[in-house]
Amino acid sequence: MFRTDDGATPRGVNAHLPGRLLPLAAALLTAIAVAGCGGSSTSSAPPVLNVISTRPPTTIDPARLTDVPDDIIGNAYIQMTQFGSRPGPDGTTQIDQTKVLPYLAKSWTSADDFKTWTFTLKPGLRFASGTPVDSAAVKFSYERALRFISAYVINDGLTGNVTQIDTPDANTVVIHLRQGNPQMPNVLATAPSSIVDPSVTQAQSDDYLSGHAAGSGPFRLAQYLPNQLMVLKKNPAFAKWNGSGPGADEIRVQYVQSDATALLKARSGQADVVIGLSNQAASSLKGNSAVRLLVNDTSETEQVLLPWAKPPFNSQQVRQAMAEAVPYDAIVSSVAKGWGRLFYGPLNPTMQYFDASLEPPVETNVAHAQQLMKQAGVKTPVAVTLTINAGNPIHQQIATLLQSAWKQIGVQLSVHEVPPAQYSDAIFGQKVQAALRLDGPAYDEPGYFLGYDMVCRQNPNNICIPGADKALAEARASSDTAANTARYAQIQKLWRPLYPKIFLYSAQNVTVLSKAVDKWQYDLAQSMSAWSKK
Amino acid sequence: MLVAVGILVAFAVLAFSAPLWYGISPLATDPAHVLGAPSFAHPMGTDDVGRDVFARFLAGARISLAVGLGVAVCAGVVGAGLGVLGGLGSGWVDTALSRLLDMVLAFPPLILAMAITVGLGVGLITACLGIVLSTIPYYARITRSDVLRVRSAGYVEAAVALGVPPRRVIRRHIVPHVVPTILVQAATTFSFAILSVAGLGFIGLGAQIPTPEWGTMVTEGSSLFISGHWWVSTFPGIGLLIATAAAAVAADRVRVLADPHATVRTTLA
Repeated sequence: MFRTDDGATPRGVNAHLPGRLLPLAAALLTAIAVAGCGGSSTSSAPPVLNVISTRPPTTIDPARLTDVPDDIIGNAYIQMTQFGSRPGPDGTTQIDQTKVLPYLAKSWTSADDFKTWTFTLKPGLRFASGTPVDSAAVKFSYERALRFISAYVINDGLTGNVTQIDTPDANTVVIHLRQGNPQMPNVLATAPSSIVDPSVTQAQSDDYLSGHAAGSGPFRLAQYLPNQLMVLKKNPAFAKWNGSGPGADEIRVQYVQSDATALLKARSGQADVVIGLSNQAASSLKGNSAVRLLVNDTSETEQVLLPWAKPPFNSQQVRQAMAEAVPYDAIVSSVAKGWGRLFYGPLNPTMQYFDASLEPPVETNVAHAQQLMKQAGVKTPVAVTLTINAGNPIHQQIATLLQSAWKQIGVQLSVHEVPPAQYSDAIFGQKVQAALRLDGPAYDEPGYFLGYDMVCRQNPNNICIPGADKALAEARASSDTAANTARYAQIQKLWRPLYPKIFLYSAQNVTVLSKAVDKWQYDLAQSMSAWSKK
Repeated sequence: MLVAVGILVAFAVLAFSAPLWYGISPLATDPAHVLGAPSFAHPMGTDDVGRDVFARFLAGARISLAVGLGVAVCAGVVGAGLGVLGGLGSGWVDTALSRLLDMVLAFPPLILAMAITVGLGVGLITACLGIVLSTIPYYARITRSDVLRVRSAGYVEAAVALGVPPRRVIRRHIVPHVVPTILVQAATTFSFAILSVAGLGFIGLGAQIPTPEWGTMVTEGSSLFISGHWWVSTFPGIGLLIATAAAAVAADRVRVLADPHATVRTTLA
């Protein structure tokens, strides 16, 4: 094919080219054959569970977890305790944070005042480095976490509560608290309480665990590309120690930026599990026989934060007026696509001690809201700047609906979109006048949640209800369920009439599963041990 | 050109007269009728909070046309002024201005507009200001070139020799000859400004909620496309296409009309 019409080889053409092509062709054919053989051997290997998520973690260091998506790394670590489960929708299960079960700790006891907790470990588990998962590793892990942001969780929101950790022997850990906390076992089931390998961590810089794992959990972190990919593979050492391992041998979590991409992958069957799909996109899958939509209640609430201490929001009538002018039903139906629960009170409906009779939803009543504004004597229009997370379509929709609604009562709302990187800083640094926020606790314990959402001088909104503070402190120090029911009821009764915040709805999580998934357990923290694929 | 200008004029008339004949507000939400398909009641459908897309389309047209015209005029006045100053000024004035313009021209115009918008705070006004500042150098450079050409013309030299005051020379003999060049640039800038403000709106730096600007509307509707609600971003996208295409055709025709050689060829033909 390289010859000219007269049969001569054109100048510049390598006469030996066909000869050189032959080995290349042979190599190519060999590669194809090997791939074919590999393909046939792969087909008998356990299936890989493919997960698509639109919510990548910002860090995977257990000591620095700041947001719910970060908790996924808990799959690569073991914790002292673990949460139980209960039945979920459509034959699935979901995590039950009211049940705490043994994990690394096979048993535990506490002093009567709940200030001293003694945990007995189940021996035999080792990290990948060979270092034993013992009391020294637990002490190291907690003391490390107490140096970073996870201290808030380890202390259960009670600043500096963990005062000392003793290790009388390799299988015993004693935790001393400044203030008694009956919820300590619950705290130690969370991802920030993960046990890390001291030998690996100490040999590396403090930032090492932000991109690597040094755990001994049901999975090992086989690959991690931030914002792109996380591959978890079954940890045989854990399975041997525990007597059983996770349901899936390998889970590939691919992070996508675009809702549209996630939706396409759900529709095409490329994803077995899709997490973080917007309600709008998920609603387009209703009636699609190739997928299952699982809806679970969460403790996350879409809410409007108001500056409690600043005029005119220091007027209870103004706050109530703004709450009563919100079109709650319209927001749940058009924004949340029906996947939201209405309530109004300090506790989320998923939490223990929530009393629906004490936290009924606010009824939209624009006329009454207008009266309240007049009674408050506030000069209108009242200018409010609402900060939202830029690029969050739900926030954009809600902000637009609030603009129209509040205009009727003389509140002029301007919307300020802030990039995600600055959004948290703006909220926690109290640099905003008002804000929209989807927020929920690291775990669903009411005391922990109210500890950062309501205690005087310790919450971003400057909410202060002294009587409620006292009841909360008593509830947190007690394990008496009946007495705590009364205390939380008192908190709900004190909180509601003051309208300190505007809760729009309790978010329901929608997960899309392919028909190939046969076992699945919902957990906001994305624990995946119970997941499996046919 | 008549067609192109006609399209722009039609857009303008429809957009600015819309409040008189189309009673639905572009900001009015109707949560009970979100994402409604185009219908008689809502010719371009409704968006994700129930707003009428046609009302927002018309309001967006007002904004886009106003932005295009405003940017072209503001940048033209300032840029042309700087160009005349540079062309007529003494050596150091011209040199200093030229180097300043070179610094600005070193940046891609949209990137510069983005930087200015972020620095001053996002919003439609700052986005327009960013676009104006990024297009001024283009006016200044071509005006300066034209002024340098015209100032050495015989009739200008004659006027100066006859003692005509400098201001009158500039006003009567120089400026009229650079106006066609400025007009051509203005027509191009009009199209660029509409696209730029839409582009800034698309990435969240332009018009903010709830302003119905075409670029912002395309962004808001882009995530809805995949779930079958194509109308929310398609119609403003078509509006952008038609407006910028018409402006580009008009700019090209103005350029031809302003070129005396092209006029001669046309006449001879």
